[in-house]
Amino acid sequence: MASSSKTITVVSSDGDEFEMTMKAAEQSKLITHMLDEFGVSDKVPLYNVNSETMAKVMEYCKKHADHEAAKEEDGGAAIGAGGEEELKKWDDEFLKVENGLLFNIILAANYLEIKSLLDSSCQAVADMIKGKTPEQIREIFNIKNDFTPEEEAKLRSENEWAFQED
Amino acid sequence: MQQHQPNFATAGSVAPAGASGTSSDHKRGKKRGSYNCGRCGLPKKGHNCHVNSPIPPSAATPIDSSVSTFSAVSESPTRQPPLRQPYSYLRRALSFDDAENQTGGFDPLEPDHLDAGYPDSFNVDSCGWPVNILWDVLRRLPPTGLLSAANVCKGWNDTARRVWRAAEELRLRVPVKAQLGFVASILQKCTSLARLSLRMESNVDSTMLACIAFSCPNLEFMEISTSNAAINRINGEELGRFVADKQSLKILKVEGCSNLGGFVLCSSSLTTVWLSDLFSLSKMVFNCPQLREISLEFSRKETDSTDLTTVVDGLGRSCPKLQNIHIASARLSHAAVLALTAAQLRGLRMLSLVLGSEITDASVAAITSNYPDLELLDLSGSSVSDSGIGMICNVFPETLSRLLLALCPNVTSSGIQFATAQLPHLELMDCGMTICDPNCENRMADKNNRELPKASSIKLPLVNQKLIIKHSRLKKLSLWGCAGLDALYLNCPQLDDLNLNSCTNLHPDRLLLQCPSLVNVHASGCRDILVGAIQSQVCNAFTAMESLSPSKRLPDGSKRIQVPYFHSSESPDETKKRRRIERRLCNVIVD
Repeated sequence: MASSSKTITVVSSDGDEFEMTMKAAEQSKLITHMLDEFGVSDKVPLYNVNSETMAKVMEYCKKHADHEAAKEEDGGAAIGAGGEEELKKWDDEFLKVENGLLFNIILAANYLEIKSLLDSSCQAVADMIKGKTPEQIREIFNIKNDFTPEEEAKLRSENEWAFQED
Repeated sequence: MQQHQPNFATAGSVAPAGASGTSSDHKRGKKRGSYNCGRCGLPKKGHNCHVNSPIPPSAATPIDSSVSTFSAVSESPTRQPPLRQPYSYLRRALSFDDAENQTGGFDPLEPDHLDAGYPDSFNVDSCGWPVNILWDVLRRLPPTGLLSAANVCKGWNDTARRVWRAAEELRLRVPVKAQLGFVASILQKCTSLARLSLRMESNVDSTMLACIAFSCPNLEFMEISTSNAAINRINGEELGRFVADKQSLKILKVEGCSNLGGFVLCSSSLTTVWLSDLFSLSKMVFNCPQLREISLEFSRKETDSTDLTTVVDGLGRSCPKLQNIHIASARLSHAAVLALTAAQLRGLRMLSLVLGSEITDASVAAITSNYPDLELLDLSGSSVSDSGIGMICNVFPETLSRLLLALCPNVTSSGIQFATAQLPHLELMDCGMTICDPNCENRMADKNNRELPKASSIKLPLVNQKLIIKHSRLKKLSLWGCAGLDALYLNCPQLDDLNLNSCTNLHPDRLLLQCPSLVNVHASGCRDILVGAIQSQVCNAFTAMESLSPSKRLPDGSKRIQVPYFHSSESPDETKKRRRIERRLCNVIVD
């Protein structure tokens, strides 16, 4: 029913408005549902997402929508096997942002139900955690250590080998 | 609702480990729970089950030095030889695995995606992270990462615990310095564990088994693999007890079984058993009525005294549902084959009896007359000759898709050609080290100095042999080590893998490859000029295809030739499907 040239408008928590094509909007399950319920004419309020994050999410949705369209077009000829890899590389670069923004992207992807973005961004965070000691992890994500010294000593002794990189 | 998501960069996703279980056609027989003894699977009527009665501890294990040299020796032939080894290749064929399989990833953790306690979106924990997002991040971590994460703060500790509890599969590498407590503490956290795969770099004995038995009540899949110098000290009694107690265990794979000594495995749930490095077993009994697949690899030592005929006989009697059998032992004999053929295993589809130089054409005759529906037949390392191949082609043309006859010195190129001509469903053919002189110094001698079966006297010197193979379904062809081959013509439109390792006398001008689907050609040990000829042939094949589809003419009149996209030659139906067309690149692997 909606042609790909139609656009919708979403509003961030800061009040900024962003335009996105229907195809890009379809990347988000939440937006798709809202549009199904309420139609296209209204502006879609997304008050849980701020403008900086919204801009990034828009970029992601557009890129992936374009990729899908290209796939459909010549039966995939334009993309080829290299295309999926290229998209993955693009995703990796896209997620190289500072931690606060990355965290917000995850929250937004979760809220907007954009599965592929959620997967990639959670994986990116997991990759950051891999191979680090708890102290290092706390530093990266600015997390307060709320264990008592006794609890911490107990945990350390239980998992002693985990900190021995061999 | 389970989702196995292979998210990890380290290879070896979930699928291969399970593929041998699932793809070997698991038609579970009806569990005759009420009238078979739960412990040993025999009918209950008038039966006194002795399985769990206390068994006196077995005699002392063999002295360390002999065991360690033994395991070092047994490592080499099965690990990484330069030629395509029958073993790993066979394992692939047996488990229907097309991809490189097994024990790739040592670490990934794959919990069930939907945890019962899956919290709300904005339920934020003490560290400020929404719990479900933290769960989504932590579940992607390998076991060591998860242990670190658990120590970050209370909220993370909580979520980490949940991830452990939800874990259904665990693949763990146990490093050399690790102690039992390492594995024990992890296993304790994984209460839902159904699949466990341990890659031991430190020694393993029955205390590990006891630990696993205690911590994993619902274990369905267990694999213990050994690497480097790890010694497996588990003995047969303990293994038998473990199996008998674990009522849920379906798949059991253990490497390094040199200390088993003798065992009786009784289980009404086991469907797949793989044991390797077996040595001198006084008793090997499988009371496993549901058994579908068995793989027994014996050590190559000369002194192996296992009586295979009795073992095979027993298998035939107590495991009537067997579908896939793989036995690798130098002591395989015609008598063992006869015991097998007497067994009436109606479901038998894949049969692999390798390294038995005493297996002859007479054995083939017995196999073909009793099991006419085989899909895979592997008699590598045997004395089978071209007449054996003739018998095979007589009986199996409808069903046989994989034929492996590597290291069979009595097989010649005419036999191979005959097989490819007569077996229309053939997809995999392994003729490694057949067309060659067994005494030729080109053969990579393996360290055990294993003797090949003596070639029969009628054989001509195997040089200047040529092979012409035209087959519409063949996908993988292996001619590794065929040093007697000097000309090769292949017209196989579906061939994707060709192994020409050490085909040292293959003449570059007498090579014609018309195989447009080729993805990999293995050419290590070949002369450079041959490698060059191969490369130009496989690229030329593509440009030949390219000329069918419109190519771009540049303004200066030259034609741009690229590794093509196969678009315009597709039929209209196919372009309708949203299919990703792959660029086909052919790799010539010289390493």
